[in-house]
Amino acid sequence: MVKLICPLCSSTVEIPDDALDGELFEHDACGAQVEVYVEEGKKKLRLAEGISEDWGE
Amino acid sequence: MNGSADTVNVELLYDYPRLEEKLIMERLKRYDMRVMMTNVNNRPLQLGEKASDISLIRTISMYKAIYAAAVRESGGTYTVNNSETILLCGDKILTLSRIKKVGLNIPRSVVAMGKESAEAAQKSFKKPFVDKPPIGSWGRLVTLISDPIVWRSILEHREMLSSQQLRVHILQDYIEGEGRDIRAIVVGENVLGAIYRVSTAGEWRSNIALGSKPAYKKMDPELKEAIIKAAEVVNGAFVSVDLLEGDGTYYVNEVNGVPEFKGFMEATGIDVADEVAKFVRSEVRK
Repeated sequence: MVKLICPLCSSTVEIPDDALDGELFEHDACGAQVEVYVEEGKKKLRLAEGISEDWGE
Repeated sequence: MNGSADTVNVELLYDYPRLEEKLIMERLKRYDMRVMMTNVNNRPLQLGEKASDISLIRTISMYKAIYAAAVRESGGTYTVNNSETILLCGDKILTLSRIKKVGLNIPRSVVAMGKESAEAAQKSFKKPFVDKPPIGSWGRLVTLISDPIVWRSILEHREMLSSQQLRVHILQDYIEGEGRDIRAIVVGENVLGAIYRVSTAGEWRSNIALGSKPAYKKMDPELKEAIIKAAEVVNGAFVSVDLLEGDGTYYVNEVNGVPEFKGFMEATGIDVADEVAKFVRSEVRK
């Protein structure tokens, strides 16, 4: 697991080692929906955008 | 197509990877294919570029899926699904029109381009009836109308939405299917199987995203024929077909161009991602 900082509550979020760029997680502690992104080779988290009108399958 | 079994290059284009994308990636690698994961949100796609032997289009955003497929097709890459299929599946008016044209059963459907025509259209429906916009998934904005007051509110709310497409209505007969619908998965020319999606208490919609439970559905010839025809109509290489049961027959309701299959795998035990990987390998070898 990789320990990252939640962009909403600033506490630690544990993300699986194999998390992909763009993968979404819910931070249990604060309820934030967060998105993994990669910057300078390092995984980071940002708040995920909400569901868009054309999302689905 | 170029490439051999040893050097098959597969690009998986995505925006927000779900379990499905991770499973497909893993199965492709299991068959020794080289997988390139392309996040379309941060990687530009150059028109005319040939990035791989085959591109699997797996974005959650319908428009990003159409555009990603179209760009890859511009470079001569075989796409699954292709841009036209994703467009036909992504817009329910286009899907239903094609399905109806080939004589398959669909719920009686009327398209209304705005509030006034929707008010006129509803006069031909017995209550309850279904109202939904042409785009969207997971049951969003799909409403069972049984009350004229609720209907007026729905019309007003939809008029307030900024998207033109979300102001368009599809009104449909409500097919009361014992609180469930049917989902089938098609890969290539093979119908992998079918499941029921059983609604939870208090919910009439059957989307897995809304908590419906998947259950095995035995295939029968009439069902299989409808599924195959529906997939053919949209030229789908890897699609799911949603159907309703009523009056002793099947009604095709939707075809999905970037299908989710968690529930299907749970109910059938069929490894859909593995079937997709085998299909990819066979297509590249052609």
